[in-house]
Amino acid sequence: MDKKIYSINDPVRSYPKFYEKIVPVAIGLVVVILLVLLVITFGVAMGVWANPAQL
Amino acid sequence: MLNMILPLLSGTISFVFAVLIFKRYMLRKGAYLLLWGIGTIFYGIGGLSEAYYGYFGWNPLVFRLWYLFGAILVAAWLGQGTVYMLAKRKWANTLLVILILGSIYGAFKVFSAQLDPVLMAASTHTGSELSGTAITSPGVRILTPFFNMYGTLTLVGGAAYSAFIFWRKRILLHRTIGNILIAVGATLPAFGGFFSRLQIPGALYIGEFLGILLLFAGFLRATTPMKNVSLAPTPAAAD
Repeated sequence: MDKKIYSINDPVRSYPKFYEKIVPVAIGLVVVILLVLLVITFGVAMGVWANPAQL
Repeated sequence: MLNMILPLLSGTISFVFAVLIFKRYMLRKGAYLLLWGIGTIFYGIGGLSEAYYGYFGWNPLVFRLWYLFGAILVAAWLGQGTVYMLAKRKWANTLLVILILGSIYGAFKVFSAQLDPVLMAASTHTGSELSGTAITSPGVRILTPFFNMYGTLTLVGGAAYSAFIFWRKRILLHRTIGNILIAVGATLPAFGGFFSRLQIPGALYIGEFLGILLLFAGFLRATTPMKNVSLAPTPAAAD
C-alpha cells in the first residue's frame, strides 16, 4: 500500500473565508459556555442558589 | 399571555421536530436518532404542560409530567442520543442502563412527591410559571441538576466536539454549522432554568422556546448539505 507523504505544497481544504473565521470562535465560545453551565448546575446541586434571598 | 403562547409554541415545535427525527430513524435506523426522538418528545411534554398550566391552571398530574419530563429527563435523554453517536457501543449501552434506572427512580420520586402549588405563587414569578418550588418532599428537586449535568455535558459537549472534528478536517460544513447551532440551542433552556431560579420572570419559557428553535434549525442544517458552498483547495504554502 502506498503511503502518502505530505509536503507543505499540498493543497489543503478550507471553508469559505467567513466560516474559517467564525467557526473556531463559535466552538470556543460554546466550550466556555458549557463550562460555565456545568459550574452553575453543580452549584445548583450543592444548593448554592437554593434560596435567592441569600444572593 | 407570554406564559401561554411561548410554551405552546415550544411544545408544538418539539413534536414536529420529533416526527422528523423518527422519520429519519425509520430510514436510517441508529439508536442516536431513536433517543433524540424520545428526548424531543420529552421536550414537547414539558412545553405543553407549561402551556396547559398557563391556559387552565393547576393540575397535579400535569405538574408531575412537566417536572419529570421537562425538568429532569429531557436533557439527559437527548444527550444519551449523542453518546450513542460518539462513544463506543459498550459504554453507550452501560450509560443507557444507568439512565433508564435513574429515570425510573426519578419517576417514582416525582409521582410520590407531596405538592403545594401555593408555594409557586409565593415566588416573584407570582405563580404564573411552573416551578419546582411546588414540590415539598425532600430528595426530588436534588435529582434535577445531576440529570442536567449529564445532559448538558453530553449534548452540548458532544455537539461541540463533532463541530470541532468537522472543522479540523474542513469537511461537511453544514454539519459543522448544524452542530454549533445544536450546542448553543442546548444551552439556552439550561440558562433559562438558572435565571428562572434567580426569579427572572419568563426566563425559562423564553430559553426553552429559543432552545428548541436552534436545536431544530441545527438538526435541519446538519442533515441538509449546502448547495452553493464548495470546499476550495488552497495551497498550504501560500501563507
